[in-house]
Amino acid sequence: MSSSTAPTGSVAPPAFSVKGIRDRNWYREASAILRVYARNRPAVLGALLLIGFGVVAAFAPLIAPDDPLQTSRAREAVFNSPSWDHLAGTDRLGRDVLSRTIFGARISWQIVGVAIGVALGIGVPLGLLAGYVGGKLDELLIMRFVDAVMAMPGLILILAVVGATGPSLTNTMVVIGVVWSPGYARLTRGVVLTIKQQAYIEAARAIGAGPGRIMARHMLPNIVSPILVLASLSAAGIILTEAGLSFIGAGVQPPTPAWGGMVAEGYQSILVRSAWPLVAPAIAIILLVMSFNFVGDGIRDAMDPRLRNIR
Amino acid sequence: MPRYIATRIFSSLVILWIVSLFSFLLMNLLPGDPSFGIGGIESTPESLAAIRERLHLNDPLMERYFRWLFNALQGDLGLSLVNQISISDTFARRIPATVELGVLSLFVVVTVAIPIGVLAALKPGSKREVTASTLMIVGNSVPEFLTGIALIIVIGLELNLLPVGGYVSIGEDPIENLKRMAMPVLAIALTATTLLMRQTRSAMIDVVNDDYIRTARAKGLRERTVIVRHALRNALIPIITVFGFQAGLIFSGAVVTESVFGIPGMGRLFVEAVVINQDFAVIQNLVMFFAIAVVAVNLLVDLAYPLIDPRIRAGREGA
Repeated sequence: MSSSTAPTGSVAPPAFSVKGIRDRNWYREASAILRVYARNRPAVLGALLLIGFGVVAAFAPLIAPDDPLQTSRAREAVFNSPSWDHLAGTDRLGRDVLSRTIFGARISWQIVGVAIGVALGIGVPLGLLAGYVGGKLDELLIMRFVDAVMAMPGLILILAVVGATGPSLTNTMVVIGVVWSPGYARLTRGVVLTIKQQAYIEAARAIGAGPGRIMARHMLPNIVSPILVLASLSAAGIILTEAGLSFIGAGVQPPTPAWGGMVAEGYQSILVRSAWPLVAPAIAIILLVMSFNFVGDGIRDAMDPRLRNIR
Repeated sequence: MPRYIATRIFSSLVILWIVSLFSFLLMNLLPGDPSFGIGGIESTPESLAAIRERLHLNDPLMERYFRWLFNALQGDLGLSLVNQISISDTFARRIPATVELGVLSLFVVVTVAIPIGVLAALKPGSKREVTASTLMIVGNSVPEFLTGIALIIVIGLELNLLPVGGYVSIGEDPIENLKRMAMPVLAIALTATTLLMRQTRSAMIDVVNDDYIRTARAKGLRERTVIVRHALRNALIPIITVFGFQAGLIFSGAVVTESVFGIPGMGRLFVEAVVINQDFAVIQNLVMFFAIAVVAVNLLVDLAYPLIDPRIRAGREGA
């Protein structure tokens, strides 16, 4: 999590500009960002892969060759090496590994979506409040809480909560979101502090806009772009965390096909039978995390105006 | 200076206090009654009441919290809810492996990441540098347990170079201990290394174009002196800032990696307590252990700032 992404290049145009001008500025800004992004080959590759993962998840029942939960105890059906029938082999219960990996993409997207939603829902309002109201509320309540949560490794906190509530898909998603929310709060607060003193905020206040309106209409739009970078990078972290949790058995429970859990099941049999069942989910984890990292890095670089004129 | 040190120690204690409240409340406010777990199916209402009495579960919440805190400060962490073994004893047996894993990993991370990060910063924008930073992101995308499994398959099973899994204490057989620690340490270090490398690279890029570097070169200093004494020293502050985060990564890595390699450390204990036993008493203390470890590293980093940067020593603190 890099919390130091300064929102330098992306401050919205002043609120008093005529709508047409604002639109044209926005268009110029967006196309400049896209131009820099398109030059970044890994970032483009990452974006394409993400689209691919999205398509696979959305159309999983159409793409997957087999039922991901269909088991077969027959001797010749378990621990198959890859073949034309089972492109990624079969696992210890005779299930088709490729189908399970494809359906696993759905679980991953679901976890990323809900966790980031929770993190945004808690973090952004807290950060807005802390930055806008400031004073004791900021210093004593919100930022102390944020510091305490951020001082702890995420996995430790999540494990503690899972220990108390029991492992399940819902718990995993929500708890990961809660643990990630301080990062969003800190980033939002930082942006609010830098724009709080600007003329257009003062102007909005002078014409009688209330705090709620100022936060929602004038501050929130400035937060969008740095949040986008953070969301992309934290998606990578969320996938890694979930995979780790499911691997140690504290995340998504079998037989739901979560990649981390599939690797764990496969790992149990590498000494006795075959390592094939863990290959496909392992590749899927690495590719998805890598894509999010490349895209996050790409967006950050593209939004940095210092990089716009080089190369 | 004394004021600076005092503030840092105080804020570390505040964080630990908040974490202690969090872990205590989390484990004690949720529904569920540990006396069932201890009494088993054959327990009668009377025997359950006796167990509740013995565990002080009928006392007010605050009293229980302060009793836990007070006893813990004296080294008594209470009894496991599952097997009635002293948690302090369990911790004493489990801590050495995890501390060794952490220290070795941190050592590998620092000795590998900082030199490579510096080298990558010397020619920003060059083909080699772009390749290096792309590789860093790739390395960053591999979870520790996959690195561990890959090492086991290649080094352990195919090449048969190192023994797979298990733990031999360093007092018993130092060579065997290192042999068994090598793969887990590598697995943990890879992720943390790539992160520190990126941080080092960007911190160095920020300083290498500064005027005082040009001045140092103009004075005719050797390139090595310029880089190490002038540039790296100034880049060191942002580099060691991520150390606390690194410590967190390494301890989270230990939780997963100890499971992969079957090392009987604190991370493995955590997984057992959460997944197998649901032992609230052990979890509550484990959270504190990891919090203390991470906060301690952060405090050391804070205390190292003034040693590196004389501006902080002079009392002109940054943000």
